[in-house]
Amino acid sequence: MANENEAQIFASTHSLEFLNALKPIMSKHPDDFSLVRVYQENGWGRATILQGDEAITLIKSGLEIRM
Amino acid sequence: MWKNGTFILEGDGIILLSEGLADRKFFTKLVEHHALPKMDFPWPVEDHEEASEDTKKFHGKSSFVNMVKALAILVKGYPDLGKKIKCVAIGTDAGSDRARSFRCVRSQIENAGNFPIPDEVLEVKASANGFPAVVVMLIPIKGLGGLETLCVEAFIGKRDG
Repeated sequence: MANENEAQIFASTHSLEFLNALKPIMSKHPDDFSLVRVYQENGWGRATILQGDEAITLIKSGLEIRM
Repeated sequence: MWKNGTFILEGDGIILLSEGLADRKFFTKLVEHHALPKMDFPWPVEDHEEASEDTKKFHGKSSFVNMVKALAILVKGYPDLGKKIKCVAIGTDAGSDRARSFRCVRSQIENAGNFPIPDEVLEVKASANGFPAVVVMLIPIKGLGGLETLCVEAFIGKRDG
């Protein structure tokens, strides 16, 4: 859908089922995905970005990433 | 601990990676028995635990590269969490050639990237880039063999401690 409409999709989730459902398409097109993690540290909002291939490795590892 | 399909780090900053389920169970009980600092044992995944098929690929002595790579990404993407991880310990069988077994683990750490690479067995190699330290243990601590060797020799009283 994003490719057809030449658009980006920003999805916010805390759902493991959603992340697991993304695995096949992320594995196939890792360059089209990024995982942006937003968190608080010492009262400041911060964000880190993982590239698609990194994100898929982390999701497949089973390590909890929804924090 | 594994819960609802994901592993939550809850130890005191030491992550222990082992090649097989038996090793993981052994280390888990060893830590409990000796009241050692609480450690995390993410992989291999227990059969009965709720985990995806993907995590079951984190199993075996050639999978340390996947384990270390996943931890490297975690440290990079979750710096607040990464700061809490002090050391990654890798325990593997000495096998029939201790030097070869160590080289095998060492090369996997190198291929995974980012983490410091110990030059010797049991050397706690600190990192210069903020990553956790790494130590490689061969089982038994001396000699050849594996976990079974350690257990059998301890059972028949051939090995002190």
